[in-house]
Amino acid sequence: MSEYITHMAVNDDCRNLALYADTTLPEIKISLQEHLRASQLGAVTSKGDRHTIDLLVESKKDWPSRTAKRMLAFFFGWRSHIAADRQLKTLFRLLEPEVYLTEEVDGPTSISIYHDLFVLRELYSSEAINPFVDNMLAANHSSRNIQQLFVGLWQNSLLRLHAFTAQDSQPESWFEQFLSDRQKFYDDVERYVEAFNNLDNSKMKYVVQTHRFYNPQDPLIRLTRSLRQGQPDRSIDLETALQDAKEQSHYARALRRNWLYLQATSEFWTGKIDTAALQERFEDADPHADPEVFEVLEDPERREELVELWHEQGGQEL
Amino acid sequence: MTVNRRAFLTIAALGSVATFATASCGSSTQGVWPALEFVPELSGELTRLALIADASALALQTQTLPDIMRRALLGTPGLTSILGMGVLFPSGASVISFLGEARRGWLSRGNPNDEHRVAVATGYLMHRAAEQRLGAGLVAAGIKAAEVDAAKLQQDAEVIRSFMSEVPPTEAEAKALLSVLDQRLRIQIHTLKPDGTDEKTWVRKLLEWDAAQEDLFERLAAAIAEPDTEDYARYVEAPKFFDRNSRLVQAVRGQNATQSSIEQASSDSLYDLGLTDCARVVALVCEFLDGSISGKDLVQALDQT
Repeated sequence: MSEYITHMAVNDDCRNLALYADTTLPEIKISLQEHLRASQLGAVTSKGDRHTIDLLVESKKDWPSRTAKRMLAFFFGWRSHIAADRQLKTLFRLLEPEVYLTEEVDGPTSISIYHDLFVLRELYSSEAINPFVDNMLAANHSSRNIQQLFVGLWQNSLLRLHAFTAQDSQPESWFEQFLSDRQKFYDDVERYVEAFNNLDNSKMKYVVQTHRFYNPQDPLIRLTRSLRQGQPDRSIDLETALQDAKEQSHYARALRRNWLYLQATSEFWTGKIDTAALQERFEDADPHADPEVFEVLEDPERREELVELWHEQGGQEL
Repeated sequence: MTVNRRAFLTIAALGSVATFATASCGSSTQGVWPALEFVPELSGELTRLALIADASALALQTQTLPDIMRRALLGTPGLTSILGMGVLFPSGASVISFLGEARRGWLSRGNPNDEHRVAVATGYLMHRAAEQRLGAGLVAAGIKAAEVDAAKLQQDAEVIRSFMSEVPPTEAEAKALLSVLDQRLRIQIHTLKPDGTDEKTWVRKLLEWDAAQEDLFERLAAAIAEPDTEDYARYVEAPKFFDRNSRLVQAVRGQNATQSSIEQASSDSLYDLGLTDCARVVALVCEFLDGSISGKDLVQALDQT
């Protein structure tokens, strides 16, 4: 499962690409320019496959109000979350074969924490617009009790945003909704802190390079890195880079997925396709895992190789 | 937050503290209590959550608890306490029958949701007890309705300071601490759960909530680091809100509270009194769960807390 920092990074890169490309609709560009925070919040929201099209329809209907622009930016971020989530689930099936074949994963594994830490160090160390504060994973931050208070405060605040808390006065139906809607807070920040301050380079190499999580040489990634620096590398042809990304690192493939969403969204916005066709286009770009991955996992010998490699790196201890 | 909700808060915290108590006493045989409603950022919710956490620890350290209550107080591993979410329970009039359902379920089948029922209902009653104690303290100190927001902010800041080292942070340090907290909480959330029925309204409210956090953290940082002298005297010292040398609080947080710690509770610290009130709520709910007292007895006993 991909995590918070990776979701933010994928969204930032997708946003930079959309703002850079000549083909992006002006409505999308203006929404992304004016409402960065909305796109970032969308990037860390679940269940996008159920709600994004309705949100896009609402935005188009209300255009050009401020609300419509915020909705469009949120929609963009929400799709980028799906792009990252779907693509990286494929990778996790390869990196942690036994976990994903035998267990329901609840909370981050060490591998997904390492992905987040890699992204934090690689992409946000000298960023002009950095959503993260420098010392957020410092080891000497002694505020666990205070943190628990704010978890409680936010848990209540976030649930209050759900309509049923104001509308449902029947305890039984309220309780049912309460159990399903309450916000989970995974208790794993200390694992981030521990890993961040005691980084295992060999584990990092396995997590990043085996099965190609991220490759700075991928043309699409080179382009996004140049965009992060505010100096676009115009020697890279965007269309070619997007085409090539199909066979490159999973991070580049996640960016490409979001680009496919963006193209379909633009066609919907300009009236070339309806919501049903948009849904189909999203689904076409959206397989939960590449067929080739299932092919590997279903082949006993190849699967055994993966499991062996995983155990060599520490297996469940990872 | 809306004007209406702020107005309600003012009424709930001041004008109707007496009414709240009177209504509870007067109509307790029907079990009619008003549903609680708070503005989290300014309602003293941080203070109540701290009281509930400390009271849970106190109950776990000093009471013999049935398994269902022990689990309700400890919470579910990997999740936060449902107890603190009791403030959201929609119907004070139904809380006893809701608990009764948990008792029946627990005795007959041990449904895991029953401990969540106990947690949310007990949490509601603890929030209520805490608010009654703290609200009455404001009234007794002559604090006016228009001052409630400022008073609650100072009290929340005092509670946060109580978890810090003795050397108070500078405003920059307090801001840095809250910024780190903000980031860590977002990592813990991983992904936000949207409202499945109306995504547009939910997105709008989420953006408003997100923007409000920055303002809240700035105000809290200032109040933690350098509280306004007059505000501190009026809202923290005059109502005797918190005793920094409280033996009870020290014992609870040191995991070594005993019955004598409770007897040593400061009789004029609102926080100490709220702590013992909330722990008593736990004890009363346990008596109800094991059948020692009826629902009517529970209501009467709670009204006397």
